[in-house]
Amino acid sequence: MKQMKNELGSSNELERRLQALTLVAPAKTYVARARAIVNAGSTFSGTWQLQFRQGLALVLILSLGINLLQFLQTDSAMQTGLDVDAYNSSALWQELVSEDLVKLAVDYRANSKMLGFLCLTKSSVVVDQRYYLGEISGFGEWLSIEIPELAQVSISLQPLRDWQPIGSYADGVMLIPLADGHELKLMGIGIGPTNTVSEGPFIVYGNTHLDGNISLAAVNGVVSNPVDGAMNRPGDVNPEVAVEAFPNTVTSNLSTASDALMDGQEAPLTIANAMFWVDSQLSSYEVKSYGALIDADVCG
Amino acid sequence: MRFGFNQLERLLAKHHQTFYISALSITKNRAAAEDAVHEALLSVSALTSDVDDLKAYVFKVIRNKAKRYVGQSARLVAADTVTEIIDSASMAHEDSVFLEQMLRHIEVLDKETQQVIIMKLFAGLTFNEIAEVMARSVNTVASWYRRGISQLQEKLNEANEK
Repeated sequence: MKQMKNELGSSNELERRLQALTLVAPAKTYVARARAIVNAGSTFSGTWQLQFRQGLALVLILSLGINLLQFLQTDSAMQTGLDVDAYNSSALWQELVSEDLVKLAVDYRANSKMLGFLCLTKSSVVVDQRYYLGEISGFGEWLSIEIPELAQVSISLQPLRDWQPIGSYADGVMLIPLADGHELKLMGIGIGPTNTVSEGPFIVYGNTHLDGNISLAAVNGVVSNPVDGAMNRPGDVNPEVAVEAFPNTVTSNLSTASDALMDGQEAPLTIANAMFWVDSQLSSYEVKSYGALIDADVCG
Repeated sequence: MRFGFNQLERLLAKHHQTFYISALSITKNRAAAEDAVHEALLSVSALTSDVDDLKAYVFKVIRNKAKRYVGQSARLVAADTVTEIIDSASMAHEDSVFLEQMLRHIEVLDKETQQVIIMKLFAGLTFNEIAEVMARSVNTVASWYRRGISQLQEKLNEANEK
């Protein structure tokens, strides 16, 4: 009996302690979105549905009639109208590009982590809209790129760890402004295993370190595509050896093609290391990263 | 006659937190729980026929959407969902670790018991409310809860002994 009382007492204690803790609250927009859904539903409901259907039928009939007229007419007036529309749309796009995309970008929301993975299949890396550094292929939660003498950048569509917004993603193009006025641009970036090129704009999270003295290679023991004669750092290994040792972590087809020089720098601008990673949270205070599976044409 | 939208709006205003928690207890994922609620409201808004008990119906749809999410996400990736629903920012590190440990214990209980415990302990719902959400009797729900707490206590004792 006494033991039963003790157990009951400790159960109550457990309940009290758990009741004092809280689970994650919904986003601030949760209720507003729910209300918007309910209100939107009311617009197309009940007696309105019949009127809506009748209206839709009328619009379809009118549309058919207009299309028929267009087909019969040889006048080029409609063509002019189309040109104006195209011009407007182009102007809008240019306006968007000239605006700071970071202000417009929103969080990319994915229920499953893999749906928020970056999928790069021979995606181009360009600095300052002028210097083509090569192509990267891979699939992972986040990507780190090291450009010696310029920057080391880690990017993701998810706010991992203490990462801050550092750029934007729109229509498969990622723009990362670097602190010294340079700009890193990655083109042809898909999202998720299906390599979806999303319109966005979404916030790109990550961090950037200027000055290539910080070497990912020294940390990881892997260099994807070292510059000829530059393999003197501790931890650097031959890329073939690296591919063999870490078959799932090393990117391929990294071109060091750019001969362009950066503002008086003597060394050619190139990608020395690019890695794709997946974070695994071992506990609330420990995160371990693993290289992701890489294939040149397929993600996932 | 079909239900009025004022009715659905009032329901949302009064029960939005319960909607969320009932979905969260199944998905263990904040974004998925929100999506389940939103999708459910969308489905209910599109209804053209009458519903006897709108509140019970909405809860049923939310739970179905949440279960569907769990099925879909299980096929895509085996994610560790426990840490995602802990509000680490609002509590001490020690509490956060304790909560994580307890959630891992909760995770191995049977599904209904998990849901009852989450709704009762973390959302403060009464047994009557939980019974309404789960479309079960109050006695059944209370029994699941008591059994679950007792199992949790045993697991905690075992862990402490080790």
